[in-house]
Formats: sequence, C-alpha cells, structure tokens
Amino acid sequence: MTDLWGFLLQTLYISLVGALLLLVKWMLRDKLTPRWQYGVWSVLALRVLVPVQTMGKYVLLPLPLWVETAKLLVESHLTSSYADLYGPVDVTAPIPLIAARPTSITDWLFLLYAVGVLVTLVWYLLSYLHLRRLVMRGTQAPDELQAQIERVGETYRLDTCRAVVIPGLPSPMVFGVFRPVLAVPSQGTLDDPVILHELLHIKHRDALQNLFWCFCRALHWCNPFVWYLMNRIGNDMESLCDQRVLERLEGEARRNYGKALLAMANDRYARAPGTTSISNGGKNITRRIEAIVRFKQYPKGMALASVCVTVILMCGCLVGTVGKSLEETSSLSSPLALAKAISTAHLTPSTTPAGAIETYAKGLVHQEAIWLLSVSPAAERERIQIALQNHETSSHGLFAENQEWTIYPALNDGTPSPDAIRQPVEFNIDSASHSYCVVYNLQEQEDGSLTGLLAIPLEVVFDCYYNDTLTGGILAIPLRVFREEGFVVEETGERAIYHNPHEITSDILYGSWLLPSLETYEAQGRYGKATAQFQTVHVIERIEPTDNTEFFGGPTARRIPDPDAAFAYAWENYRATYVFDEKIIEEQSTKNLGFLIALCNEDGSLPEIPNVLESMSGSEWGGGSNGDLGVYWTYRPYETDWDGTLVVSGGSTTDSVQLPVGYAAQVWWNGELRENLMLEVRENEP
Amino acid sequence: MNHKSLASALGSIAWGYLFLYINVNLGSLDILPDWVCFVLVVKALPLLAEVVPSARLLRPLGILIGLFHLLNWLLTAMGRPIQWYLLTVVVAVLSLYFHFQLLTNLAEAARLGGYPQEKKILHLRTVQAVLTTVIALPVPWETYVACGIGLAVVSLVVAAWIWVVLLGLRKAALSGGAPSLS
Repeated sequence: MTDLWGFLLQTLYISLVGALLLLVKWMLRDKLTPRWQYGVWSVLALRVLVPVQTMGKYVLLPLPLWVETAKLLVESHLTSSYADLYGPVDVTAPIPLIAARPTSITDWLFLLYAVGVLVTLVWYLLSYLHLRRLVMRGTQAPDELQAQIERVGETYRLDTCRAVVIPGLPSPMVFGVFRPVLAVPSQGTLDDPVILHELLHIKHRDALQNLFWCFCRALHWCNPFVWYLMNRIGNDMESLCDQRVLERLEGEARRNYGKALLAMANDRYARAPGTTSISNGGKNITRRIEAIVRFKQYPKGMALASVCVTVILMCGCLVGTVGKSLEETSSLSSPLALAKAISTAHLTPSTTPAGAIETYAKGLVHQEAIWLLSVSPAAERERIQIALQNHETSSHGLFAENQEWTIYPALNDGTPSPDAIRQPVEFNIDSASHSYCVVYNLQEQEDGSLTGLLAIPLEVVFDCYYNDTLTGGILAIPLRVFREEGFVVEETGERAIYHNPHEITSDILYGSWLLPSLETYEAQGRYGKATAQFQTVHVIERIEPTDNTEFFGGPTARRIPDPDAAFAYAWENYRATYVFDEKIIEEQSTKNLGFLIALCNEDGSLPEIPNVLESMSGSEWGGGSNGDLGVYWTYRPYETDWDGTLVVSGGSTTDSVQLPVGYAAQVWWNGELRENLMLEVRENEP
Repeated sequence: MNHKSLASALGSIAWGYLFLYINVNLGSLDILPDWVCFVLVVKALPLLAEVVPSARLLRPLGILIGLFHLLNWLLTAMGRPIQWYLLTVVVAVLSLYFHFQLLTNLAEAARLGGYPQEKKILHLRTVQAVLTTVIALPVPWETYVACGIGLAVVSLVVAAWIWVVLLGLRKAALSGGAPSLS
C-alpha cells in the first residue's frame, strides 16, 4: 500500500470479507464443526495477505470504484506525493510502503497510519518481552506437576514441554512459538483436561497462528471492525481447542472440564503475541461452556462439505466478479459524476490488444473521452483528465472545428498518391463503423508492441466549400498498442484521409488499396515491371444479436466497446500487377498475355508452379488461383486500347499473419513462358 | 407408519431434484424453475423427519434458499436477474450445505431401514458436493464451450443418477418393512 486510498481499499475489502464470513458462520453455526468455524478464517488470512489489485478488475463489490471516486474528489484539490491522480489506486503489497516525503494531508494521514502499524508492532514486541521476562523469572514447576504433564502427554500421545510457575498468573498459558513453555499459576492445582488443552495448543502451533493474527491486527490497527474480527478468531481458536479436548474425554471428564473453565474467567493475556491462554474472558467462557454442553461428534463426511464451502468462499472472496464496465457518459457536469466516470476509466483496463483498439476507435467516433482515457498511456492521461475537468471534450474526437486534414487522393489505379494535400474538410462517419473496428497492417514489433493503421470508413467527405459529391474515404490513424497496466493505445503519426473522388469507399473489411500496403515487392522484367502488394486486415466485430432486435430487423451494433474484445478474423490481402512496356508489346505479334505470381516458401525457395497458363488461347479472358499452393494468375487477349496492365488480386483469412518472403512471377506470351521473375521487398516502404 | 412417509418424501425429493437439474428456458423464463425443488423438498422434510428427526432442522434453510430462487426467477422473467455477487456466493454456500445434509439424512434413512442404497446415496452426496463447488467457482464456464458442454453432461448424469437411486429407495421403502429408529 503506497497511499491512504490503497490502505482504505485493502481494509474495506478485509472488512467486507470478514462480514461475509461472520454471516455464513452464523447461518451454519450449529451445522459445521468448530474446525470449520475456525478454519474458514483462512479465507480472511489470505485476503489480508493478497493485495486487492492482484485479481485485476475482478471485485466483490464496487469498492474500487467508490474508493477511486473518493480519491479523485479529494486529491484533485491537493498535491499528494503518494496518490496518483491519473491512475488507479495501487495496492500491490499488503503492508504500507513509504517512498517519499508527505506533502498533503492525505499523505500525512497515510504516514500516521504507517507509524501506527510500527507502534502496534512495537507494543506487541514489548508485551512479548515482558511475558518472556516473567517466564524467565518463573520457578521450575514442582516435580509432581511436571510428572502430571508427562502423564497427560503420554496418555493422549502429545508432545510435552517444561512448565514454570509464575506468581500472580491468573490462568495457565503456553508461551513461545519454537520452544514453548507452559506457564502455570502458583495457586492451586491443575486439572488434567486443562493440561490437555494447553498441550493441544502446542501440538497445533496455535501460538504461531496467534502471532500471525496479531500481525494482521497491527496492519489494520485503525479499523475497529478488524479488531472485532481478530477477537472472534481468537475465540474460535479456543473453541476448536475445547472441541479437541472433548473429543478425547468421556463422560464425567467432560463435565469437569467445563467446571475448570468456569474457574478461569480472566482474559489478561488472552491476545498476547506468541502465546495461547485457556482463558479468554468471562463472556467467552460462558459461551464455551454452553458449547461443551451441546458437544456432539460430527458425522464422518462432514469434512467434505466443510472443504467445499471453504473453497467456494475462498474463490469468491479472493477473486470476485467482473467489475463495472465502460458506459456511455451522459452528463459530466457535476464533480461526482466526472470523478465516477474517470474512476471507471481507471478501473477498466483493456485486457486484449483488440479490446484496446476497439475502445480507442469508439472513443474517437463517439467522442467519449472517458473511453479514450481508459486506453491512454500514463503520459497522456493527465492531459485528457485536465481537458475533461475543463469540459474540453471535443478536442479528443474527430470533429474539432476548422480542423485541417491531410488528404491522400487516389491515383488512377486506386492506390494512394504519395503527395498529400492539406485542407479543412468535413465528413460523416459511415454507420457501419458501429458494427466493426478495422486495423490495417498490424505488426508485432521487437519490443512486443503492435503497430498498425486504424481505418474508419467515411460515408461522405465534403471539402470546405461543401461540395456534396457523394464520395467516401477512409480515415486512417497510425497507432501503437502496448502493455501498461492493461493494453493502451497511442497515435504514432498524423491522421490522414484517403479519398477516392470517383467511387464510394466504405467496404474495408477485406482490404482496400486506398490504404497503404504493409509490404511491396517488385522486380523489373524484360517486358515490364512486376509489383506485388501485401496488406493485412484485422477486424473486431461488435454485433449483438440480442440487443434491441426488432421482429423484421436484424441484429444491431453495440455502441459500448468491449475492453476484452478479440479479433474476429485476420485477412491477408494481396494485389500483383504487371505493367507491360507499351513499345515492347506493340512490336511483337501479341495475341494474349498472362501473368502469374506465386508465394515463395518460407525459406525463400521457389514454390511449385503449375503450368496453368500454357493452354490460354488468343481470345480468352480468365484467371484463377490455387490457395494451397499460393499461386494466382490472370490472362487476357491483347487489344490496341489496352493500357498494358495485368492485375491479379485476392485474399484469404488466416490464423496468423505471415509476411511473404517474396513472390515468384511468370510472364506468359502467346501460350509460352517468356520470363521468370523474383519479386523482392521494395526498400523504404512508406 | 414410517415407510409410507419415507416413500412419499422420497418421491417429492426426487421430483424436486429434477426441477433443480433440468432447465428448460422459454426466452428468459425457466419453465422448470429451481424454487419448485425447494418447495417439494421442504414439503417432504416433515415426512423424512419421522424417520430421521434431524431432517427437520433443514427446513428454515430450505425456505430461505427457495425464496431466493423464487425472487431470482421472477426478476429474471422481468429481465433483471439478481446480480449481487456476494448474495450468490452466500446462497451457493448454503445450497451446498443444504443438499449435502439432505443426502446425508437420506443415507441415514436408508441405513436405518437396512436398504442397500445407503452407500450409493453417500457417493452421490460426494459427487453432488464437488459438482456444486465446481459450478460455483468464479470461472466463466460458458465461454469455454467444451467445459460448458462437459458440465452440462455431468449435471444430467448426476440428475439421472439421483433420480434412479431415490426412486430405488422409494421402491424399497414401499415394498420393505418400516425402518426403525435406533
């Protein structure tokens, strides 16, 4: 815990788990054994030791959201050195850690808490040392008493220990964890069941467990409910020891045990660290005697039920369920609503790259700055949060007024021009973007991050003079996705519009050559130039068939992003062209021309290429592919008004994208193979 | 006459488990709701208690769990199922104990009557407890298709097993003598 809010979250969680355990224990109070009644506190022990943040966004109640909201409301007026205003509450250790000097009141409160932990631990240490001094000064127990202890140990097959007499000690107790000593009062004699009780404490190392519970109490010294829980744990430990004693006694001996307890209604050393005491207070003794009267042997097989109940409680209390997800933000005018929205963003990290990309894309399209915040790197969060607090939300989306855009118009072949123009434009987002999110050329980098081009289809693009020619385009945003407490997205270059004034361009699910390719391969042949382009498309679909389905309608798209989304599919898109030199094909008696490309093998060797173009005749048009071999071809007859370009294109879905090593190409002329080419990667791919 | 009461109780409990394990949904409405199981079982407890007196102690728990399932069924029908995670954990724990103890009582009844189903019911109790625990874990079983199908198949097998064993015990109780309380 590194700040006050981390402590608050951790202690509230422990309180919640404790309350849940108390409820379940009450409901099963006479149904499950004292072993279970004490053993189930292991769930609380694990909750104390396991930091809240360990399970990510799984929660029991929306406690993280409430604490995060409170933190934002309070810390936004302070300058804390400990609390991170732009990130979620961080609980990565169950103990307080101070890393800097305190600068705000919340820092001082946290420091006070940390000091309190130390003071409590010191107090426990002093108590232990005081008891130790008493034990060291105690006199060796009389031989008869030692012999009695040995006899009880032998009867019940328990290890024994040495005993010391301490004047003024109200009731017997075991002192010490590794070399326990039985401390006994100087007055009166000890009954065998009492000795049995203490030896059972030694056998089950209850003093060590007590040490642990004292540590838990110190960690949460300022939470009175935790102190109550620790007292209950102590009582259950004693009740379990009583159960163990009663299981070994019979008849009259059991009744005598109850009488012995009545005589020891004192809790002076009940909670001391490293000790166990048979007496834990008058009220508790009464309760224990009632339990003795009700004593029963629990049936065999009940252990299974006990274990199963504990497993359910443990998994439920340690893991929880998925916390609050992103929502559409209606009004962020009040500080509370804004703090709550920002808290939700902090606490809803994306667990997948696809989820991060989708959240980012939808945040841009729907101008939801909160969604953008949830997938922004730490360096960006402050800027976005400050803008939110100043109600400057429009700057995060795509619709800022008078914004100039870089536009790449399409060339005649449909590919983007290398020369961009820059001017103000307005556009409408294609409604299809609500149903899917598309990323082009997604590639893994050496540092494990992913880079790609987010593609948002545009329905209409108006130039600044509102020329309403109905044309489309694609808004492309280069971005990088990497891991930082979940996946985050940052833009790595200029946003640009790829625009083809001659056609509507909205279908981008299976590739678009309006957008750059991932890799280009080329080779200069004898008759012209061969070029192959490779492009990948990753698609995230957000169609929810059950949302608002109309009787005659279809499934509708869900507006809210899914931070855990997965890619629906990946598509490998390719296009190869051979541009014949006009003079060359005019000079020779050309009847028909064919062009074939084949994917090289992974080791760079040539693939097996079938002679599919051998039989092409003068007047035929055609083409084909053999996906298994990675071979694609096209052919056509020569015509005088033909521009000399042969194009073969296609694509396929893939489980894992692999960048082609290269392509082999063949040029066929009048049914004869005229040339073999190897297309290699063009350098300086834009 | 105890064996008749036992047989009647077993019939109700067997039908109750059918409602618990088999779910048939019309839209969001389960037409074999779980709360019917608890109605039938709670109704059968006094009859079972004539043979195994401690069975009566399950009644308050059965009513409580049954009410929860009834409320959840009604809310689900209205499109608002209970989504309080803590509550579902508590109910899962209580349900596990309830069914465990119920089957323990039924095994005790079989033992008192000298019927051969005692060991089978105890095995059934173990399987049912483990299955309930696995289903109650915070794992999204439905996202793992194979696991979801596997659990569904196991649940159906357990349901059939319970049905066969309880009806076998019922038949034995009807044809055998009255079990004596020891």
